[in-house]
This record gives sequence, C-alpha cells and structure tokens, in this order.
Amino acid sequence: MRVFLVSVLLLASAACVDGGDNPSKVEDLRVLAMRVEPAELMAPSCDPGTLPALTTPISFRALVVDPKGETRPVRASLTACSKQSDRDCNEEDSVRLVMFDEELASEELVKGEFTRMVEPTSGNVGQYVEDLARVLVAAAEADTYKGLGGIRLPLVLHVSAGEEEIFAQKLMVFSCPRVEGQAQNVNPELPGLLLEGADWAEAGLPELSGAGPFDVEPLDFSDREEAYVVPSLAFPPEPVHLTESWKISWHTDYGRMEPQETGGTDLGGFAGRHQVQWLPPANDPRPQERVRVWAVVRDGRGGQSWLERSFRYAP
Amino acid sequence: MRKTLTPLAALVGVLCTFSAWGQAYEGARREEVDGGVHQPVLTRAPELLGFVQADYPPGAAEAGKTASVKMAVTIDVEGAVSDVSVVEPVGEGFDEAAVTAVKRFRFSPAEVDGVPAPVTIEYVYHFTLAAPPPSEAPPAPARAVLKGQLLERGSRGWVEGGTVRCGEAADAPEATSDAEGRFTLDVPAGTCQVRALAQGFRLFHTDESLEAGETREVAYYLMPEAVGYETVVRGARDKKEVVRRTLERQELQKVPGTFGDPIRVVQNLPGVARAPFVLGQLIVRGAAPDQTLTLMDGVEVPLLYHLGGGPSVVNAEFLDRVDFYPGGFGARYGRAVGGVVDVATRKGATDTLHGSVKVDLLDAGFFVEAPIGKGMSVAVAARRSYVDALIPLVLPEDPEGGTLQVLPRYWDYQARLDFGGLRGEAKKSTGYLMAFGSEDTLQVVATGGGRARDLTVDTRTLFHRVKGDWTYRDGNFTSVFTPFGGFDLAAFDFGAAKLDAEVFSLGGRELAEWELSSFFTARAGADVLFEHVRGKAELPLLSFQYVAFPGAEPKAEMQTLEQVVNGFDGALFAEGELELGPVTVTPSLRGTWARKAGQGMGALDPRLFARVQATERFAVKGSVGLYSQAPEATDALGAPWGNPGILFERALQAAVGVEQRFTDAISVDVTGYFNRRFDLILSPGRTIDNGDGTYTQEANSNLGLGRAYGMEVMLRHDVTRDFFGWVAYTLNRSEARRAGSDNGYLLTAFDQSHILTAVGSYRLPWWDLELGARFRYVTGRPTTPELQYADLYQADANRYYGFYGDAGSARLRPFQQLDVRLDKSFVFDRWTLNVYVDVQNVYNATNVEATLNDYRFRDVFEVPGIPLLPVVGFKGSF
Repeated sequence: MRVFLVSVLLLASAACVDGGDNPSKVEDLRVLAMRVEPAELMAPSCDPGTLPALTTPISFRALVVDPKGETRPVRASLTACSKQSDRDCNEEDSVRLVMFDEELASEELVKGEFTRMVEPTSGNVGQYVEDLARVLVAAAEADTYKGLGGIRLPLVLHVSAGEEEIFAQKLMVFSCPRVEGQAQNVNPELPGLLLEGADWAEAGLPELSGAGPFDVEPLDFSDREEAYVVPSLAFPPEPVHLTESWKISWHTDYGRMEPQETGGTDLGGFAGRHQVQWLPPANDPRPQERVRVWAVVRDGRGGQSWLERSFRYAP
Repeated sequence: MRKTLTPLAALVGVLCTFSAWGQAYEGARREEVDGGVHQPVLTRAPELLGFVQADYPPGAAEAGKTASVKMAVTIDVEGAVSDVSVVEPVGEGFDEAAVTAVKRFRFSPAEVDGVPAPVTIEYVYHFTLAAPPPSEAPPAPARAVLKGQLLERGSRGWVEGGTVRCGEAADAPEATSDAEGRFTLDVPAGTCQVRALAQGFRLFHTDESLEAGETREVAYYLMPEAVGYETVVRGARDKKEVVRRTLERQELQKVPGTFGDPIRVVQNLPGVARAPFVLGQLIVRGAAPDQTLTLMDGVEVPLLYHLGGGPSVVNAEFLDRVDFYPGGFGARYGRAVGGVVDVATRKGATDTLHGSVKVDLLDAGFFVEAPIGKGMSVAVAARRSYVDALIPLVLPEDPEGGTLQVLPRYWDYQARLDFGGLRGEAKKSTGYLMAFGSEDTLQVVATGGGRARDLTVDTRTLFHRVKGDWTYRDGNFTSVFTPFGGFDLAAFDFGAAKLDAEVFSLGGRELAEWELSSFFTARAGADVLFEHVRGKAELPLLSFQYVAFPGAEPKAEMQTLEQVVNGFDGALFAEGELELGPVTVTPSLRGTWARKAGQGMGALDPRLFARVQATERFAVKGSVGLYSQAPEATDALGAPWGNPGILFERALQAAVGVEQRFTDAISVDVTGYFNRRFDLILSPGRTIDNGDGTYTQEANSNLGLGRAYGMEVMLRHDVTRDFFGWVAYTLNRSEARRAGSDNGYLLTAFDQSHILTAVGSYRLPWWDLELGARFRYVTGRPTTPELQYADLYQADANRYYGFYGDAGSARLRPFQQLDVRLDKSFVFDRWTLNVYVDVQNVYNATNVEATLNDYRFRDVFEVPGIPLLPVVGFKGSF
C-alpha cells in the first residue's frame, strides 16, 4: 500500500506540474477557430464518377487574436494539403493547393476575425477544379479508411506575426451518402450567452467588480444539436446513429476561464455541463476597460462558430 | 587438572548440502516443488551411530584451553564419512584432533527422495575441561528430575538435538533434546548450573534449585545466533537453464527500497529494466511486461499487485522463494516470449503453531502455520485494507460543493495444506492443496455541485485459484501432477457504461522424470490450460466502430454486447539430460497447439542447453531455443474486437555465459544474450480492403518485430550468517519495429543501456541490528526530442501538437538513487518484534521519471522521481 500511495503522490505531483500557460488565456498570437461554409460538401451519391460540386464557393473564416500586436502586420496563407499527419503541410510527398497567401491589412482583423472566399474565379475554373480534385484524391489515398468517413481535406492556415508563427489545421469534409440517412452537416450556432445569469448581448458592456469568480454560460442550445448518421466499420457498413454533443472552448484576453472547455459526452453517457467561470488574475488585478471573451462551439463533425462578448472590470 | 573430552558435540538439526557450493546459507526446511519442476527433498536425515572420542591436544590441555571446531562432514551413501573439512579453524591442535576423530564416525545413510544419497552436514566438536574428581567419593546425593523443552526464543520453534547439562563436570548429567525439543535430566538435588547448547544458538545458562525428589518442568528459550534467520537445509537444485536466479526469503524481505515486497526484489536482478516511479512492471531483456510469465507455485496469476501498483497479492510471509528466468528456460515452461518468474510458497510449520501479525496504516494481515496431524501441516494468510474507511476522514469537503468519494479497497488470502512425506517409506506420495485469491475494488464518485462533468467509476477485479500438487516417487521414477482451477472477474462501470468479464480456467501440469542411468535422465510432461471467457458490455457505440471525427464526443446509441469465447492452450514437452563427465547437454522440445475463439494454431519449439563444468568452480554454458506465446482468446474475435487470423507471438532466444565461484559464498555469472522476437501482436492491426469500397480495421495483427541483445553480470554473495548481497549489471539494447512500415528499428520505450544495481545487507555485531543498502544507476529511458519552431493547432479537436525529432533519439537524464534499510529485532521468549526503517533516496537525488509539455508544446517540464522518503514498519511474529 505504501507503494500505491507513493505512486499516487507521484502521479499527483506530475498532474500538478505547473505548465505556466493556460489555453483559455489569450496573451499572444492565437488561432482560436476556423470555419468553412458550407460545413460539408456532399455528393448526391457514392457512384463512381459522382463528385461533390467542387465549384461551390467556400467561405473561410478564422478567429485570429493577437493581443500584443494591434499594429504589427499579420501574414496568413491557406493551403489544402493531402495528409492529415502533415500538420504544417511541409512534407515532400504531400500534395498541396495554395488557396491564398497574403498580408492582412490591420483593419481586416475585425474583432480578431478575417474572412476569405475560396472559389474558382473566371478564366481558370478548370484548373482550380483539377487542382482541388488532385488534392482530394491524394487525401483519400492517404486516409486509413480510404474516404469511408468522407474525404477529410486538411486546410492548413499559416499565420505569422513578428516572431510568432502558427500552423492551424481544419478538416473540410467532402462526402457521399454511404448509408441511409446520411445528410450534409451545417455549422453549429450558439443562441447567446449569459453573464452572471443575465443576457449578455453582443453590443453590451456589463461591468464586473470584485475578486469573482463570475458565472458564464450559453443559452440553451440542446434543440440545435443534430442527430446524424455515419457508416460503421463493419462489413458491409451499417448506419450508426449519433447525436451531436457540442463542445465549447472558452477564451479571454484578461484573467482566465475555468474550465477551458465544456460539453461533449463521455463513454459513461455523461454530457458535460456548460458551467464556466471567469476569474481575474490572482495577483494584482487591474481595472480593465474592455475584457473580451470568446466562446468557440464545435459540433464534432467539423462544424464551428463562435461568439465574442465583452465586459468592463474593476477589481 | 584431568583432561576430559566431552562429546557435547551433537548432531544438531540436519545440515545437508547436495553440492559443495550450497553451504553458504542455512535456509528454511522445505520441500521444493515449483511449476511442475521436481526438486530433491531430504526425506531422511543421517543419524550418528558410532561416536569416536578425539584426543585432547596436550598443549591445549596443559594451558587449560577449550574449543569448538565447526566442520563440514560429507557422508557417503553407506553412512561412512568420506570427507571432513574445518569450516572455522581454531588452531592449538584442536582442528586436527577433531578431523581425525570425525573421520572414524559412522552414520546411518541419509535419504534424498526416498533413496540413499550422499550429503554434507555441519558438525561441531566441543573440547571442554573439567576439574579432577575428589579423592574420596562423597555419599550419593539425593536426586531430582529436571524435565523440559528447548525452544527457539522469539518463535517458540522446537530445538532438536540440543544438549542440556547440569554443571560443567565431565560426568555431569547430560541429555539430548528430541524432535520436539524435550529432554529429561536425572540430577542431584541442590543447585544445578544448567547449560544448554544447540547448533545455531547461543549458549544458554541458568541455575535451578531442586529439592530432593522434586520433578521440575521447565522451558528454556535459546537465543538464535542470527535472529530471524531460520535453520537449515539447503538442497542445491539442478541447473538446467543458462540463467536461473533464485532469491531466498532472507533476500526477499530485506532488500532496501522494496518496501519488504518480495516480488519487487526481482527488479534488482540483471536483465530487468527499471520501471518508472515505483511501479512493479517486469521488463525483462526488452520484452513487454505482458510477455513475462508470472507463476505462483506453477499457476499463472492474473495480477501481481493490488490496485495496479500497490502491495503484491501474496503475503510476504507465505513466500519461500522466487525463481527468475530472464530467458532460455526449459521446455516445461511456455506461454511466454520474455522471461518467467515463479513464486514458490512454503509449507506450514511442522513443529508447533507459528504466525505473524502485520498492522500497517492502511491494511492489516496475519499469517499462521501449524501441524495438524501426522505428516500434515497447514499455513494460512489473509490481508484486508481499511484505507476506504480512512480516506473519508482525510479527504476534504468537495470543493465543487457536490459529492466526492474515493474508496479503494482490497483483500487477499492464501491457504496451503501439506500432507505426506513421512520417513522410512519406500514409495511415497506427498503433496499439498493450495488456494489463493484477491479482490480489488475502487469507487470514485464526483458528481453535482459546480463541476462541469459528473464522474462515477466503479471497478472490481477478483480472482481465485485452487491447485493441487501430488508428487509420487518410486526408485528412479518421479511424477509431479499439478491440477488447478480458477475464476477471474473484472468489472468496470463508468456512468451508464458497464463492462463485465468472467474467466473460468481449468488446467494441469504433469512432469514425469526417469533417471535411466547415472548419465542420462529423461523427462516428459504435459501442460494444458482451458479458459472459458464470458464478457458482457453495455456501452455507447465506440469511436473505433465507425470513422470518428477528431475531437468528437457525440451522444451515441447504447449497445449490449455479449461474447462467450473459449480458449485452449495445450503443450507436450520432452527433455533429455545427458551428462558425459563435465559436459551436460539438455535438448528439449515443446509442441503447443492452441485454439482461441475457434481459431486453431500450432507451434513447435526446440530448445538446447549445454553446460561444461570445466573445474569444480568454473563452468561455461549456453542455450538456444524457440519460444511461443499464444494470443488471448479475445484477440482472436472478429473485427472490430479482434482478428480471427491472429497467431502465436514467437521468439528466438540465445545465450552464452560463464560461471566462476570464488569462495563457498561468492560467485560471478556473466551471460551474453540475443533475443529476436517476431509475429508480436500490435494494435491497431492492418486495414483490409474489402474490395467493394469498404475497409475493415483489424484490432490487432502479428506485425511486431523486436530484438534485444546485451550482457548481464551478477556478482553475488550468498546469504551467510551476517551478510548477503549482489552487484548486478546489465548492458542492453532493445529495439522494435512494425513490419511493413518505412521505419527501421527504433529503441523501445523501456530501453536502458546500463543498469547497475548493488545490494548489500550486513548484520551488525551490536544490538541485533541489520543494515542494508541498495544503489542504482540506470541510463535514462529514450525520449523523442521536440523541435518546436511554431505552434501546431488542430482546430476541430481544439488540440495542439508538437514537432518532433527522430523517435527515441534523446534520453531522460540517468537515474541514480541510494536506499538504506535498518532492521532491529526485539526478541522476547515467545515472540519477536521487528522494527525497520526503510529510507528511499537517502541523498535526495533529483531524478526524472517522465516529461510533460505545456499545452502548446513550447515548454518541457520534468516529472520528478521519488524524493527522500523514510518508511517505518512493524511486524510481530511468534
């Protein structure tokens, strides 16, 4: 038993190793979310030769926050890459398609967001479709399941500002209905947030004071979580019926959010409660004219969206 | 002064060795049967029939000197003394006189396994002087009777063969204690200066005042010369493997830093890598922990430690010996491509009731042993934790304002009933029945309040084993039959998900041995195991049943899964042992056929062992062989749970080494080894193209390849009266790869190039103190260096990744640690209290057990190892 206790103590000490950093604290350049619209491109059937409409315009939005550099330039590029494991899309055998690569104007990062349309432009539609199809085929070949769960095309956003650099990957799903009931996914949308139990409007700037903690929670969205169907790995594939269990990651540019992520349903069937608290810095909290909070919601199928709210804080 | 020679020398106990090397430690008397392996048993001790008085050295007599000469006496099959050597010379002519006399002694032949055999005993010849008799004989004094029993102080064990005298005179009344330690002395009335002496005990003396005609009953408690060490018999066991390391009870319980846990001591032997923290995993010559077979009296046990890393499931008092084979074991063992650990329990006491009680902060246990009839004895041990009752007292209120409970609980038991083994029977059947088992439960409840997610976990692990052992000997034939049955239960409840598995097992071993001539012995046997597995699960559809999206935790339909799987693993083996002078060659063959979940598979494993005993103290040895380990029955299920095409894991093991014995107690063993493992089971397995656009993911496949090579050095000082210890060094490299992958061989996670362990325990000359120390130096485990130059973020899973260099191309810092243990025994007449302080990491070395990253992989944090940690323990035994 002594060994057991020692082991528990050591494991506890390991768990308590202070990482210093906290994912909810946005203190430097961060990519917090990436969203494509539509969330999924589905072909009408899985017959060979039937492809999703590759000419469909894709709206790409990213939530990029750079608290340290309101005036410094941010360079961003988006590349479709064939290998999920190639997270910076830098391996020699990866097939790539650069979708954009440019320096963002400072005014473009509105509330930390920027938007780009990815679509074939007049004159080179054929080349675009050919290039995209080439990356998709390579992605399907690189996939362990050869596209059974849909071809998940990695989109790699490369963001750099000053000394900081981030490669952020988002999977865009191109699929077809392999089993009955499969339908195209749509992005999740949170209906709103509550701060200390009161409605927290986007344009509002409520004031908080004291040591906290202060309760934050989303408005009920359970009716928005979709039921959906995916093929099983059995042979032949059978429909697997699932229901989305949204997860929300919480971020702030002052203080921290606890816990950093809520939601999802674990193996025991427990759905996480979206009970979150904002806590000011433990040491020497200062008055803040505007503290920003981001709630990024993920539906577990590639769909994402986010809300931004602000408040004024006095210790 | 008249010189008188008093034959105080007595045959005290039975001090036998079957080889000249086996005299170093006087271990506990026992029968040795492990894993179907026959061990020689002394079934009849030699008795002194003809005593010869030695000539008292004239010079010593004139100087008034006395002495006791300790000798090793070899008795041949006829009972004649064939060799005498002085163990502790005393000089003054005593040694020569004693040797001359003892060479003319005559004994009854000793019997081993029921047949006459040569043995070596320890004999002490005492030379004493007495005052000359008075010129006139006084009138005959009135008489009295002194009756009593000689008992070992602290344990009340019977002291057989002790001499009790009343006074120092040559003609003083004298008696020898019988097998139960009893004696009767007819003495003159008045004051009797009692002197009691027995081999292995300090001289006992007291005065008794006896009235004329009085009969007085007494009990004399003799202090053992080495407190806690037991008396005697050691049979050196045949060496049929290149490397078999045997740890005796003394070594098992007193090694510093092992918390008195015998099985952990194995981790200090060559060939075993250091497990992280203080976990008990056995990583043998680069093999995975589940590739080393752990047996208890030859029966496989499903787990070694309570609660994963707690105390071992066998009470330390119940263990007799642990045999460890790092590889190259004989054909009688199978089902392992790594090593074998065989834990042998011990027979209950045959003299009187003994036992011990151990009370810890978190659990309590007892051990009792006693004879229960003619030729029968019983031993029982049990332990129960009460940490579940204590934790609520120290666990703080739930900081979240809900319910928080952590309730671990465990218990275990062992019981053994021995029978047979009476002296003088030409054909003998001996054996024992044994039952053992354990249960672990862990309940964790964290619900309600302000927490974002509830948690309820309820786990239960239970096993019972019942085994028999029947040994039959008739002349040159020996048969050992070991049937066993078992029941295992594993239950895991996590919220609404429930998993239960039951395993009913039935098996047996038979080993028959014929000594066909003086140079050839044949052995053959069977080893079968049948398992019936029933599994039931109620749980949501799992992410590996469909192609899950990164980071998704959807609500899934509940499913009920039920599986009934049968598994059979049977082997026939044969072995021949040919001894041609100094050369011993042992070829063997083990054929295994297994049927797992309806899938049949077979393997044929030839093995060869050779040994050349170049001189009495130097030997060269080598072995080569194939080894097989069948998959679990559940591994052979259909996808997605298993792979119906799964086959045996295989290994080729080769070793060559030398042994050199420097003294009776000190020896060195150097062995080089090469292990090539193949068809290892890896998970996940292959992805199979079904040809219709769908794919099947095999849960496992025989895709693993491994190799390990290196050298092991064991410099050992056997357990003697005052010291035991060893220095173990391993030079090792263990690598693995996945067949068909582009990657070459990579270091395994537990590869440790240099493993140095030094263990020593010394009995201090003062206050019955014993001081032990263990020092370890181990190369750090391989790690993969981080080459982070940018953040790598996966936005769907909200997770970061790292940039890494070549896998296993860096290492943690080397591990070094010194542990010290101090034991003190307080010996009372009827019981003994042992107190020890075991201090881990005496100089508080800062070791690194693992590394952690911050969430963005920008920083690396070292997880420290165990700091300076003193542990105090108490044990009472009687």
